[in-house]
Amino acid sequence: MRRLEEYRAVVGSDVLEELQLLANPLSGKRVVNINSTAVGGGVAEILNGMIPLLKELGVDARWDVLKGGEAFYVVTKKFHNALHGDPVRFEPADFRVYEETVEGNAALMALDSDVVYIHDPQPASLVQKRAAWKNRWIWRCHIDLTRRDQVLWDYLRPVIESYDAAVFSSPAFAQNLPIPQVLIAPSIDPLSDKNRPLEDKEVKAVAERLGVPLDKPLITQVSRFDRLKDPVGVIEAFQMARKGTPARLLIVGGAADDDPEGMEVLAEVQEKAKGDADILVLNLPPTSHLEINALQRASTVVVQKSLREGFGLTVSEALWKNIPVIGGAVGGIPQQVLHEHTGLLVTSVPEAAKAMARLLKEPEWAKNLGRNGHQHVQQNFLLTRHLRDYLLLFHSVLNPGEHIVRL
Amino acid sequence: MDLGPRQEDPVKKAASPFRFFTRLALTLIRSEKAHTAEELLGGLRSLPDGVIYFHTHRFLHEHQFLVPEPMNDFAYWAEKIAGEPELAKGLSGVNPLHHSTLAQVRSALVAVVDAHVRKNPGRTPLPAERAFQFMSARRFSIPTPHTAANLEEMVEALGRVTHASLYLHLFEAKLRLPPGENDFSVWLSADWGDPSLAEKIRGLDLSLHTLEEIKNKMVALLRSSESSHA
Repeated sequence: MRRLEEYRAVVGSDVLEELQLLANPLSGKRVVNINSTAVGGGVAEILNGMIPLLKELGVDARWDVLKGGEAFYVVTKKFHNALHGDPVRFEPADFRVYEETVEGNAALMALDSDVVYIHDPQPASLVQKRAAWKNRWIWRCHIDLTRRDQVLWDYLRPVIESYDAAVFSSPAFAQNLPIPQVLIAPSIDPLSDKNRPLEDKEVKAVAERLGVPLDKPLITQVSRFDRLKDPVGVIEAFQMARKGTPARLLIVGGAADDDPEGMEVLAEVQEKAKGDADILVLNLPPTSHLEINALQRASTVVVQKSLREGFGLTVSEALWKNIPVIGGAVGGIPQQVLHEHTGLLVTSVPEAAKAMARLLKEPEWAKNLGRNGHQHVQQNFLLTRHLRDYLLLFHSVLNPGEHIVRL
Repeated sequence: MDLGPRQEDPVKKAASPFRFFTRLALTLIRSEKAHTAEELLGGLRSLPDGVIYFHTHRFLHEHQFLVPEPMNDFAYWAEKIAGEPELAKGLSGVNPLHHSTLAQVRSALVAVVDAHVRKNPGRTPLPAERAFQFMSARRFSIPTPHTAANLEEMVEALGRVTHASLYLHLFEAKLRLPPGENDFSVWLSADWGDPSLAEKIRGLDLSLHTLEEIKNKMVALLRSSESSHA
């Protein structure tokens, strides 16, 4: 567990002072975060980082986890898939299981807190208990809703409308709702193993250990082996781009044995790369944070050519390391890749090929994009900005109506 | 030899100290989107001032490192997302710092888009993922502990406050003060009593430098004034 003081060297004293100024009027305010899992997954990771820092700033923050049986988790998995756009058929019993489980949890949660901050759809219907207290309720959606299932949304929509505000990670995910919709992007932790500074010799040692030669400019895509990350498209783009420009492509990801689709995609990628000495494919365990850090730092260009994306924090990870990024123009990527300022946005394989060739042929310009990218992340995608947005959000719902809130 | 008690210059103090505030913002996503220049024009004409403010000022504080390229969200979208370089050129020519009210900024943007729409009617709407998303912000005003009663304290405070605070006193101040003024120039003239130094601060071209560069230039001006009066 890190303390705020550890971030001073990275973000500056002024930023820490600003956080404290913002937190002072919230001193002692009770804020309960509620989600459906204590370990694993992005939400748990965010809350594990945020709750101690909020407490350190004087906010009485706590985290409650919804408890449900197997049937409940089957239903909420269906919710999750349907909101992502997968075809799912719902039965009336599904909604009954959902409502009964949430109802059963209500008494166990600190719903009388000044702010109740609900994450994702699993605990969303707790809001139906809000009449008992004059407090403020926020729904935080961590999911890409651009292809959401209409039946499920018709069910959830009146529930969401009972909140004081809804929070999304990207403008593209927002919905037509009568409540304020707030944009809060996720963030990277600059002190984590995945992002902390590394010396050149550490970078070289990792590359050598993993068998990645650094004799040519390296183009890297880091993502799990998933068709929506288009690794095969990245290989095709590279094969078009490297004509006349020496370069090496590294596709690095993770595919577990219990993930049949991931293993299938890995096989497709390996087949596509077969016989091409300039294309390397690495399947690393999910704990390889330091290795990913080093490989991103060893790269000339990082690619995140997703066809669909939640936020795509690998983009910010690369930009933080001064590496320009070629990103698919989907989900949260356009917030991070400002076209021709911090990288290049692409919508097809030929565009990606053109972007790779351009960055390889104009290394000084590529470096400038990387430098801009670092600044962009420094200002907009670090953990401390995320914490600041949380504090502003709490102030916002506790001070409704005023155009400018004077603290 | 006894020289007697040392005579010290009375330390000059401002009539009232400069109090640093900071301005932070929470971004709000609106339901309106523009898939065409016509829809962009509709939004520019009808949406609240807060929307115009958000999209014309965001680059000034969130993307400071991109200057000296003057940019606003509308121009960025037209050039990089919608593929309308001519429209982008017109929109990027609307520098919010050259206007003293949001109504003037709005009129200038409307004139550019209106002319473009007349010249290029009936363009195919862009797909949803490339549409312009209108946004605004909830703003928060927060007093900081930093104050300055003289130039030395001002230099010291400038070294401590955030970019958001500088942005508030330099850029946002322009929308509530007479043309050309910012909070520092007003204080230097009215409270510190140095209209000549105030004029120099007013003369800094805010659109050509990052906030860090502007801060350094201000510090240099304040120090130079301090030493010339020493």
